[in-house]
Amino acid sequence: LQGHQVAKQKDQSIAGTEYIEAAQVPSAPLLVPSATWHLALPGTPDSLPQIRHLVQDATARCGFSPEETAKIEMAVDEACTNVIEHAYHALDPHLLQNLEIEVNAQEFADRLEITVLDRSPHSFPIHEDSGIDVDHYLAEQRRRGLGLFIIRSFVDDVKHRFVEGHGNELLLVKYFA
Amino acid sequence: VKELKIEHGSTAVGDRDVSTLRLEGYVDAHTFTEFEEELTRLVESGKYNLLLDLEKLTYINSTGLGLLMATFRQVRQHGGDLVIAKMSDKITNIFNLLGFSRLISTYPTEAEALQKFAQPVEAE
Repeated sequence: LQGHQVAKQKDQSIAGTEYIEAAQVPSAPLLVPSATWHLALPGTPDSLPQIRHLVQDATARCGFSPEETAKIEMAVDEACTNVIEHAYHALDPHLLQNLEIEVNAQEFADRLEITVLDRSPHSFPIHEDSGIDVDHYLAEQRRRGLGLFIIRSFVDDVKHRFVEGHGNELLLVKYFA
Repeated sequence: VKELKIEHGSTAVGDRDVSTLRLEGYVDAHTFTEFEEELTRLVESGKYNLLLDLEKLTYINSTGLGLLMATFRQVRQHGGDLVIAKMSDKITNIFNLLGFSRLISTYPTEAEALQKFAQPVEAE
């Protein structure tokens, strides 16, 4: 990252987590981010407010409207909740210690990319047909299952990959209008 | 702001006793259980007329919204109702996008929301 200027950096009190905001890059073509945010926190529900805060910081810098910000915040929160409640919940309790959830945000010239990484040994893809759409959700009087629909429909692109030995990487992309 | 603070109140509207819950903070995977327990306790104790004041609620996740919808259906089955007052623009936007506003009534003030209980419950 030679030549990059870290605009602001602060330490969070939780588990020595380092939260770097807006590491700015002088030029911003489509492949090089002009700002990045990073957060690594325990994979527990009490980490979610800080993750939403990171999303709010990133969307504010990118100039997203309050409506778009709310959608991106919810998509990321639902993705992280999936990790905490499903990917990690399925593991042996002995493995849960020190399992982190990592969130990276990158501002490019035309989009904001947010990546959620877990340390699960199992693949948890977000399939095209996973979850349920709103009409079925309401008609069937379902109580759960809306989260995956929100992840897929509140951002422009969702990509999943599982890296053996590392975990799941879920990329959420929102393009600027 | 506390993670989730729930303040209770009650108001008589005609012959109905309306239970008011004023939420402050956020409903996510960390605070959902507290929210669920409050609503379950009310419904199980026969409180079927519920007004939720969401003015100070900063965030609600899909499970929280699902709980609202499930509780709405439950109280309706008992001749009651669940209405929402003072929801922020941010949450109103999500509520509308997901189609929840087609079923659950929202009002800008508690007084206007209370008036809903003066009317007979409409069929869904």
